[in-house]
Amino acid sequence: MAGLVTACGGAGGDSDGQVELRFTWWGSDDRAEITEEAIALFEERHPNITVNTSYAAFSGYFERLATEVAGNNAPDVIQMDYAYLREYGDRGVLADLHEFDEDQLGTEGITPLLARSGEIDGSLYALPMAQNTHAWAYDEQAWTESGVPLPEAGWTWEDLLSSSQALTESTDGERYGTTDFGWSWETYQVWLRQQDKDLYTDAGEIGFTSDDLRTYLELLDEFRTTEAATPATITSEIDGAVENSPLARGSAFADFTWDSTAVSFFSVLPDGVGLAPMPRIEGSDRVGQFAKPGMLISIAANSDHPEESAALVDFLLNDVDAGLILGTSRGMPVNDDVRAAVGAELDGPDQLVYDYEEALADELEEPPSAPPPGNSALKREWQRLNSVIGFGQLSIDDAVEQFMERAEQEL
Amino acid sequence: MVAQQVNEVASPQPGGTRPGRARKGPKNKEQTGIAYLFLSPWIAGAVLLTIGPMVASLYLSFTNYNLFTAPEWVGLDNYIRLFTQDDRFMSSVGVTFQYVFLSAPLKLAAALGVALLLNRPRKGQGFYRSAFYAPSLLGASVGIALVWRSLFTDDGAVDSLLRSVGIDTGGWINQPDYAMYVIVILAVWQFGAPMVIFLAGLKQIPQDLYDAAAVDGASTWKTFTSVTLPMLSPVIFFNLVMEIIQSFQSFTGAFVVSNGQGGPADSTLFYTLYLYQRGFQDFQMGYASAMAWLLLLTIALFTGLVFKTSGRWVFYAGEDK
Repeated sequence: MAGLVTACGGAGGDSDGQVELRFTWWGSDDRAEITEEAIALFEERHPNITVNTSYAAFSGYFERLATEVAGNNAPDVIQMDYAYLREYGDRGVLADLHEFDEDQLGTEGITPLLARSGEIDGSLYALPMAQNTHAWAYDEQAWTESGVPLPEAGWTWEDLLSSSQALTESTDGERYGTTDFGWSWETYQVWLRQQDKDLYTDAGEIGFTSDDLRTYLELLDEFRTTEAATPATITSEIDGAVENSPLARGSAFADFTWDSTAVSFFSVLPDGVGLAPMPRIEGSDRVGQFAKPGMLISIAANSDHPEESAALVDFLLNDVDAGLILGTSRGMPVNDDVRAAVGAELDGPDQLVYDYEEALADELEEPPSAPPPGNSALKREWQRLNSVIGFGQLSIDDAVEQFMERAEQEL
Repeated sequence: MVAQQVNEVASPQPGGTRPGRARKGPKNKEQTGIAYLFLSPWIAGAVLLTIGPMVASLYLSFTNYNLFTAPEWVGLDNYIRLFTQDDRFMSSVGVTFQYVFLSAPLKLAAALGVALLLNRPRKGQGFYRSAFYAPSLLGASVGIALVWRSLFTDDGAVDSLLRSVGIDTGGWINQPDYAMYVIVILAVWQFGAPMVIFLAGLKQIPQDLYDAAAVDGASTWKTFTSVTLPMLSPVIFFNLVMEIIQSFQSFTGAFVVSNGQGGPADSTLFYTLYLYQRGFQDFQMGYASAMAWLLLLTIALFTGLVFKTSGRWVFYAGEDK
């Protein structure tokens, strides 16, 4: 269809204007289908532009992208992850989006908390495609049946601990209160932010002390030793896939997650999933949760067609028709108009997530700046240490020492 | 004629008689030219796709290189860091040695055992041979590794089966003490390739030796250790070298079974897996290159060691010992 239109355009006399763009993203087949649909609409509106798309699963996506970029063969428009933004931005791979005019690439409609999240040292390397935030997903029916009070806004880590213990007890240890959240680097970040600290300082140094780390690891240990959280053998089944999570497999009542991911739990827990905000530190006035740019979108610095690329990005983020096609497949839309339009059409799990975010909207904080290079290595080190501690192969003191040493080397 | 010539140059047959040196002359020169012509795609491939990248990688191993900006020369830093500052490197070395020493001998033993069984003429021999060879064709694939993963997970088929006979392991891949064995079993199961080579080797053993052993009243075990094993030793030697090289480079099984993490608790952090994490997840290509070269040296060292000891246990027919 698009090809036909462009062919007519060529016959019409402006055959020189034909442009081919490459757009790459990660995601599932479902997402691919609706993305293609949105792209088709874009091509219909811009008969001189053809968009060649490619997508992959998240694992493997950045390996391939890195190779393409290294070979000077970067796609024009790139779906980007927060964790890798600085890695690419600092190294000159991505275009500074500040260079585009507002009418080429609009940023005004974008939720203010998120609009600048792709900015590093004054350059805007990416715009968010969706908004996400942290959440505790729980098996609502099972929790209710156990008689233990449900989590509510303002609950504390102590509440999480005691209710998880009670949940485990209510099943005689058949099912654990919560999934051990030690694997999650992001939960630690929330806990730190509740104390006005963070994983990294603005200068990209480590943002917490060994004492902070020790306190947190001891908290985790208390969850494990009192059987409030899943033991290491169960925790190590976590591989990022929703269906392999202890919550989905029925070995835990709850799990830390991203709210956009929580939708997938409905397919495995049809009785219903509840979403609770993160527990707080007793007496802290900060919830620590922030509006996380779920996925970002960037333009390659050496793209031959920066203007057409900008038009595509603008279309994907700000066009209401595109938004209605794309829905919440990447998370909540970031443009306020699109968000309102999409929100009006939601039902079921999507509605739940939308309501969850709306309820939290006033409390969500500005996202931290994109993590420094070395973050991926540290995150892996974090997961390893929790696994090793969980299996009783390493003491907390040694773990603290090893982690701080590693942080010094990687940053 | 050309094919034969190339064959003679490329692979003198072990145990066979070497052909006499070909006569020099214009005819021969012309044939050499043709041989090179036919070889040229291979030579171009080797230079462009193997030797070139290897040289580049050797250079990169002395640099900091993040793929996007120009490499920065750091001398021996990467190598020094590996040995003095990187605990995970050391654990990946440990894991890999454990794997090589477990999987290579077990796989060869399985291959030889089944080859001996399949060597005797029986009904349906072709079927059995194909059936035992099939895992080798499938086994390297990601799909099989995924199946393996689900077989050995908590509540997986293996776990359920063991529980039904009263053994409760609680899953294999989620426990550091067992996870490695899942990958070893996956490797051993793919014994088809060495098995086929063993079968070929067994066919080469002259029947008179067995007849002589039978006349002397040798037991089955005695016949096996005194006739079969020595006569088969060149084939064992070949298989052993190939297995050692392959096991050191093993990647797919660990990558898929541990979901790219090398867990739980680093118990399946294979050397190549850590190399991959460093290179493609942390963008430390210089560091990863240094690791690759250390791997190459280690493989060369071990292959060399096996060659060195081979004089003592490998016998070629017609050799005076």
